[in-house]
Amino acid sequence: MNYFVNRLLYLLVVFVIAISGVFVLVNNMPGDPAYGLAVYIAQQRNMQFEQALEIAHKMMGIDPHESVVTRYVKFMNNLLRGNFGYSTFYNTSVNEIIARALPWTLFVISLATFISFSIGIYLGAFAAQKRGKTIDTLISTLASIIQAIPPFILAVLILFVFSVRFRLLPLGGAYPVDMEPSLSISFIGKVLLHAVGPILAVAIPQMASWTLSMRGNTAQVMEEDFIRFAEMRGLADSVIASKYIRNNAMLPLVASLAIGIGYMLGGQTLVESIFNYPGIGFYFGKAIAVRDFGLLTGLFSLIVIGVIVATFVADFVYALIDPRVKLK
Amino acid sequence: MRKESLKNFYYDYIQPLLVNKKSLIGLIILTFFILMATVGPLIVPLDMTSNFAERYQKPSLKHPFGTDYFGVDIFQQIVHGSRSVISLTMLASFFAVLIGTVIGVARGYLEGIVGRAIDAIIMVFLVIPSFPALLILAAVFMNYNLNVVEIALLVAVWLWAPLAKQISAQVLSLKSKEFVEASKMLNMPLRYILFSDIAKLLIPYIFINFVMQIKGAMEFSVGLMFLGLAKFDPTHWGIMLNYALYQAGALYTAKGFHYIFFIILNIVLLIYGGILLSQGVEEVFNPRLRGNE
Amino acid sequence: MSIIIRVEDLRAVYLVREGTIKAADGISLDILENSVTAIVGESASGKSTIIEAMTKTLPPNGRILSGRVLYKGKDLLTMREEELRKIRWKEIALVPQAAQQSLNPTMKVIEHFKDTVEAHGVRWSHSELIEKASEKLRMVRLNPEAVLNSYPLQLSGGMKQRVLIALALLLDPVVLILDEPTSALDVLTQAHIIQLLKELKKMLKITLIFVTHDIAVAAELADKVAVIYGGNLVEYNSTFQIFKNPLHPYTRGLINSIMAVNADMSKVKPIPGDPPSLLNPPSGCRFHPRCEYAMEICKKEKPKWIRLDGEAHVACHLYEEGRPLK
Repeated sequence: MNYFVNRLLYLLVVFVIAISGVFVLVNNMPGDPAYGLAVYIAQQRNMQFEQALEIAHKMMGIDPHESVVTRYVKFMNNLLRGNFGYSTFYNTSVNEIIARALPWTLFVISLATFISFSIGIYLGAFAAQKRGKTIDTLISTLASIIQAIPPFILAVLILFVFSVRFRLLPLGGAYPVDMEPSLSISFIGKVLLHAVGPILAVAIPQMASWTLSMRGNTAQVMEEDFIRFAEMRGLADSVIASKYIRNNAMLPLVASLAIGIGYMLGGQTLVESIFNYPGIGFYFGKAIAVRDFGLLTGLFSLIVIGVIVATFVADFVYALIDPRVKLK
Repeated sequence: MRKESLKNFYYDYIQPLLVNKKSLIGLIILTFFILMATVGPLIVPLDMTSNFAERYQKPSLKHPFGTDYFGVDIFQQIVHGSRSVISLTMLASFFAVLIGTVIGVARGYLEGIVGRAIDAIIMVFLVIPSFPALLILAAVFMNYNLNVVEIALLVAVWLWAPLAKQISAQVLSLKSKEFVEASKMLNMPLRYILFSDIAKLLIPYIFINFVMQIKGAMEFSVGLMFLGLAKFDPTHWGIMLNYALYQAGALYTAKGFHYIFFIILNIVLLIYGGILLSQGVEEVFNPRLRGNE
Repeated sequence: MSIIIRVEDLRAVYLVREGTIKAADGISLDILENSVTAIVGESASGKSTIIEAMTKTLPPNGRILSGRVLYKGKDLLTMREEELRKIRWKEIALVPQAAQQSLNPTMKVIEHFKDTVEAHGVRWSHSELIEKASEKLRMVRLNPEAVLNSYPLQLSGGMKQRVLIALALLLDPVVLILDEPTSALDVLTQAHIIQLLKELKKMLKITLIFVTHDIAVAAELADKVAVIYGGNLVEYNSTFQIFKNPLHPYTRGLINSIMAVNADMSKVKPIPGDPPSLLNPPSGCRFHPRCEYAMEICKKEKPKWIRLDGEAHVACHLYEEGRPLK
């Protein structure tokens, strides 16, 4: 238990450092914190820089006479109360945007993770059992080719092939603009159809990496002495394959599963942007594009919280399922 | 003497890579792109003037990869863009390895509070989701018109941490090994121990990691360019992709397929070359690394 | 006593990149029922290969080239896999050398007992299983309540070795084969295990075969000793006779080397030279390069496996020529 308390404290420190880092980065740029935004506004609206700077100050809620320290204390204080800040671009609180976007992101990543993990584990174990045979070479080569495709590039390909060329999938969004959200079957069907693109773009690269890790782990476990001893005891191959090989090979992967979900919260910025899928990543991309630093810091805080919670959960899960860790 | 050590270097590090199938193919792919970046622009001229009469031409002898929305030859752009793609990727990998090695070795050697502080820094960079953080950093610096070296540094900041962690662990374990103990007992200076004993064992490690960084560096830099966050070269493939999708709308017209396809093909092939080489390097050198543990 | 296992001209090799390792080269051996047989040899002399080939549990790169292993008149080597699986563990149990890594780290000890029983179609209720497992664990001097619900990493090296023995005894096998039961253990634990095997031998009607590099262990436990050198069986005799009157020059060297440990250091007579490479073994008698009695014929011809008076068997030209060691 002591271990977990330590770990939690440690992750909290990491959180504070990370968030403070971003705050300092955004707010304490050489010169004026609103400089970047002001340049952007001046370009966009074709106005004088001084005028733009004034607008930028207002938009960011900065009083130029207030010290950075005061602002930092305010910001952290708000964060502690669960207030993620204010978006100047959307003219609403970041909390409201999170409430709107988070369900979509969670929906996509949980489905994508579930699909990629189950298929990847199966394929990896299968390839390892057939090590050196053609089917193994095929699976591993395909998997490493897929790994060479960044998810957002895959998203572009999927969008082009399935949406533009063959018109099988919608061009973007989470559901048709002309539909009112409801619990009707047709609406749910549309929601699923809109999610296919983002899910594929996230799941396929994931699947490749699960496959490769599972293949490596399985091959390693197959060399272990306890496998030979199980064979000597006359256990059936199916029992050895599941209880001895698969269970041991899978353990480390189950833990990374939790961490993976945490990282995907913010890691799918480009994929969601390409599909115009209104999740956290989409708003993050938008915040970058329009230099909405309030929204940016708020969403980033959420992403870091997600990663930290996931890391903690992963530790916990690992300790729960692996006696080697549990007993230490 | 020099000749002898060069020969040894060839047999120890180069020849095994030419024998391994994966690293050989990876090397061929990377060499192809490096040639494209160095010699290519000298042979292939770049003409960026718009010629709407030739918009979206299919690949032909005249235009091997076809033309884009503005009627500009895509092949020429790819060749000229490879220069900034390769230099950005290599520089970013180099910086990442440099930062990771320096911090990792420092962590391995420094004990007490300083060591723990470095640990915490490494941990922070390990935990923070790197791509969103990179985007924020890039957005903050966007209006400063960064050059290749500066962008490479921005990317490298988010790549070095895993390497630093591995190296610090290696140094810590090497530190306790007998021969380091021995050089301490023989009263040799710390500097000597550091460079002679440890550096020797870390070289293959650093080499492997440089190659392994290529994938991350490529993905990050192309992603940055794709979002239009660093625009120093209009023919960088990430920026080409950005133009193709958002300026020219090539994504939404079936005629533009070859435009997107050839950009993507080159990006993926280059990353795949890096992956193959790193898999090969790992296969060749890792047993040796494990032997050192 | 009757013969329970008869090994005839067993040949097994390992395929490695550099060639084939001729690890067991024409082994013939009779194992007597309810006896304890020690197979003694230096490391990499092929002694483990013999028992692994006998039970068809060689690692993937191992191949059996020829020979027969007759158990109750049936050849284990040509038996169908299904039939062999039934005999394995139920009648012939093998405790491997790597005792420390032989249990599944993610399974409790009890589950190992459970799946072993299930694999052999034995229908025991859970309480029966616990009862039987506890009985065997007590037999190896372990506390069943504590051990059964432990994970392997909670056990010490000696405890793991005992769990493997208990596991091997679970289905009351006729033959128990142990590969280096005392290696990788500290001296005290080694003594415990030897003591334990002695007790088992008294307690149970069982045939024990064990492999060891330590001839002292053989002296303490075995009724009969088989000496292996470079993949060949060189001598086979009752323990008493082997120590009293070693026939083969190699056996004599082995025994001299242990006598020296607790005797006068000046009389230490280690065998000069190195163990042979099994990739390219020496011609003729594989011991000839290290043998002080080597003759011309030893370099050319492989000595025959001959039976002398009593139980004594030896492979040495000295005896074929009728010039025994004095």
